Amino acid sequence: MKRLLALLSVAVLSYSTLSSAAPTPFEYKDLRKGVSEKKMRSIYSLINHASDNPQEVRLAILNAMSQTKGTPWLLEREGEGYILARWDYKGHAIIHRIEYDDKAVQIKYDGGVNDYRCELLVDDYCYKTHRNYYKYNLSLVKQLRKTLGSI
Amino acid sequence: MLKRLIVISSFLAVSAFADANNDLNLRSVNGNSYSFYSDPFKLAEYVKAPQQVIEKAITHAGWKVKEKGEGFIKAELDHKGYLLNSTIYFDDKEISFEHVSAQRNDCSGSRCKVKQRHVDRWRLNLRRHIATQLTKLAKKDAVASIN
Repeated sequence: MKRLLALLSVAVLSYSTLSSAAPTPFEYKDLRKGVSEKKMRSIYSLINHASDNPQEVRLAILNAMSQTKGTPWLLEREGEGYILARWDYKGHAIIHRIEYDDKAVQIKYDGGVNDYRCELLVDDYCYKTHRNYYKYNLSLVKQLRKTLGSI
Repeated sequence: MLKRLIVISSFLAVSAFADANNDLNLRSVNGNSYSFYSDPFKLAEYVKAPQQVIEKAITHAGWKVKEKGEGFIKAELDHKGYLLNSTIYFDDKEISFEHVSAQRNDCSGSRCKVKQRHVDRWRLNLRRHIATQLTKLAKKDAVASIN
């Protein structure tokens, strides 16, 4: 019986995890080894938009990826309600899942190569990796705000 | 009670598994599971001509098409004393890479060691040019979907 309950809880947990496709409000967890709340919020906070057309939002995200300062973010893959974007720089790479719905857009950590591998990943938010990760993402966030603000 | 629990738990487990398999949406690629330049591209429906995408990328990246056939293109880079060979496989769902060889062609002997950092950079560059073409197609598709 206990085993069955354990199985049930694991199944419920995995189902809810797989179903969480849409942007969700970022809640900072005060972890001992994590970076500051300010740095985390600067990347992972919801970016609201006023469009009811998902294709407009999709195009705004793709444009933002191309318009960042320096090396552009490139499309890795797309799916329902998200764009997987990759940024390569000096032998390191960041891969983000940019999720969107009818209200907001949100960046989530999907992976990293070399320096940008996440050492502390909680709920798709990276609390610890190379310090430049939190700096280089600002340009993407800025462009997302800009392109989403103009639709 | 026991029977109901078994039914519910098996249903949820199967649903979760099915989601993961049918749709690469979210969790199939976890954090930290990417390689530097060899990850395949999963193609969306709007990528109608993957061969053209690859050929354009090869040209823009400064590589050359050495040979092409059904579902593959062999590409070569002869650059700064290095000769790189890669095979790019494709179908309507995926573009994948096999990096065949990298050697120096400007000298011989033990002093002519291949510097991996150069090879890595050029291979990554080829992959990024394919990603650039895919990004352009995604934008075109988004514009067409809006209009």
